[in-house]
Amino acid sequence: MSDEHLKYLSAIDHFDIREIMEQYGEDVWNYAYFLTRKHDWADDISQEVFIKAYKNIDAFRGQSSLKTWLLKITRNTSFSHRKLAFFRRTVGLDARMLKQVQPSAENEYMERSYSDDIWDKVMQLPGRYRETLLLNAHYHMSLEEISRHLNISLGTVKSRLHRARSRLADLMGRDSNDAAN
Amino acid sequence: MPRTDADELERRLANRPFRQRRFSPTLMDAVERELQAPVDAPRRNRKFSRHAYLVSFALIVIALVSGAFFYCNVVRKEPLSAAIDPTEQQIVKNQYKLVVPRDWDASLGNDTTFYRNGTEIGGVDIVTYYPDQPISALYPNHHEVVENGMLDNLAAPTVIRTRMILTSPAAAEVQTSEEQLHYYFLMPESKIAYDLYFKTASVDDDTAQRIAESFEISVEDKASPEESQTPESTETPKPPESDKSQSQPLWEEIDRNGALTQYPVGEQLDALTYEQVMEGLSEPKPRVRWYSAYRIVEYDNVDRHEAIISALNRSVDDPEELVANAARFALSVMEGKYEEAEGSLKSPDGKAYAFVKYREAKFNDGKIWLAKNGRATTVYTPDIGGILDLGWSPDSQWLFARYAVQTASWIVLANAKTGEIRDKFDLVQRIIGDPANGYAVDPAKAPRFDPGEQLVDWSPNSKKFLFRYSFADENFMPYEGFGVYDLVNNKIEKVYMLPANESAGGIDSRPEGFSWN
Repeated sequence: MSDEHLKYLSAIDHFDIREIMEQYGEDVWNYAYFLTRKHDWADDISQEVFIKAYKNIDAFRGQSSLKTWLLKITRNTSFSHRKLAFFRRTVGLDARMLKQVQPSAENEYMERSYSDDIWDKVMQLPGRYRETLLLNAHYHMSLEEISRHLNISLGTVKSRLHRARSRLADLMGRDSNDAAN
Repeated sequence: MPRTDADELERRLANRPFRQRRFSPTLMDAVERELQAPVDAPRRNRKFSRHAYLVSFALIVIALVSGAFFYCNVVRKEPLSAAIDPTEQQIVKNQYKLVVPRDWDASLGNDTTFYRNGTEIGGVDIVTYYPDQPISALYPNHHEVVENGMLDNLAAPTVIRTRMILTSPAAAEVQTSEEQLHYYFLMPESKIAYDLYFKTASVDDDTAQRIAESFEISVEDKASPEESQTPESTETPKPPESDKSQSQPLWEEIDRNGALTQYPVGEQLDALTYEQVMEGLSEPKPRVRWYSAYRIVEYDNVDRHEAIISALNRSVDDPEELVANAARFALSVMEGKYEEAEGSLKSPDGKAYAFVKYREAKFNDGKIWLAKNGRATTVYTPDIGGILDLGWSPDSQWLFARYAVQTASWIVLANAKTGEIRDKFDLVQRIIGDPANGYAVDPAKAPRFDPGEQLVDWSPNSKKFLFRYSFADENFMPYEGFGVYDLVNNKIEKVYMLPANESAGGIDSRPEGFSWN
């Protein structure tokens, strides 16, 4: 019952946006990170998501849950961020790009932050498999919801999920074999 | 892949991926700051056309990033904020910024509290500082200075570093002591000091020093316009109170957009000290005075009793009716005159009173208060929701309350004699889940399920109650009905269903043919 009253809002005031951030901030940040694999981008994107949600709450009509709507905004924002990142790269002065000279520091830092080594394997999956798997297994979206969310056919969702799970099981199995040897 | 392995993978994928919450309060603060900024500021207007946005962005990026790059690398030789060590994070507030370890959380507001794993480990307080007073006026009460010195080359011309032991007041039941390290950044013109402090049991000296070195003040040290004017009045200025913190920014933050009268609940409110709430009684904003009048009751003890009563006696003359009412209510509770507290409910046996505070808020704090034997205590605090109705069972055993959020209401019972709580009735779920009732509704598919429960009557022996329920199906079709709940056997004894779209009527209406016999 706790988030029932948040599901259908016609206006968000500052009080509500804080509550919404408390409730969904972690999901939004994690999704942004899964998509971009950069924690500083996830910081930026997740903030932008809530600013957009606040400014566009009128567009939210309750066809989906508030969480699904926020994840959709996260996805769109992550992609536009990626495009802008490409643009910034061509400018050549962006501080974040300078920072990428040491990608291992970021990876090491995030690896230490994972609660479970499975996430390191998840991050090794190709993007489209990783995202589909997480929407289903972590965010508990139905196949139909994922199909709408990613704008792909139901059949494609199923095949991506199947391949993602197989690959993940392979990666986990390989790991345990290595350990055994 | 064996089935059990697959299940194990699914289970692990459903868990949270990171040890810590990554969307920190600092990021939330930044979002709120952005939203509070004027919407017409062109820099913040995001409704550009796509091309205009890209072109503008290119120009801004070139200008800003080159500027920042030049500034950081050529002028100041300091790192860009984005290039902060990944184990650290920058906290940016309106008046200052600083860099702290990434696993710390920071509270809202200009005054900041730092937490690690939910434990308070330090913070930044903005305190009043009068240059003509000794520096010790800044120290908290009940302190013993262990070490004191001045530091150079930090964010303010004068920075005092003080190590002190804080002890509990002599009158406290349990005596405690705690060592703290304080860095006072003095701003003599603006008559404030930034008190950056750490609990040394949790933060080592090197970390504290690094954080102090990262501390930057974003506002100039100059007198406020009111203070710089020559006072024409001959009134004697109020004597400065040595350890009184600047409360106004705190309350402004707390009551942003009228949050106090929306739902006066939250960690920030929980953390308020007695002194802060006392100051709240004389804040300029009526909402803050209204909240403080209700809240101050919770700080009552032998030492403070008289001070609270005298403060409330001043508040009953408040020009704002709401504030005066709240003060009258609080005063009645403080003086044990519960029958005079507006809205308090006397038990049928006349031995106890029940009441709820903040009744004027959209959702009150949901705490059920019970006063008996001359003493008032909280008997139930909900996880969420405010109280809509409150009442007694005929035998004075049970207090009942209807709680609500925007799209749901539910019943909670608290036993006034034993303290037993019944808050998991789930009446609507049980009614639609019982095939005998024939409701073919899946709450997960109903976009506005909005379950509602309301207690409308008690059986004369107080062993059963009659309730109303309501919900809506996937086509927004509303359903209402009644039911009888048996408290002894913990079951819904009878359901009186009404046809779809038919209202159950007002609070006094009963199902057709209903009687307790």
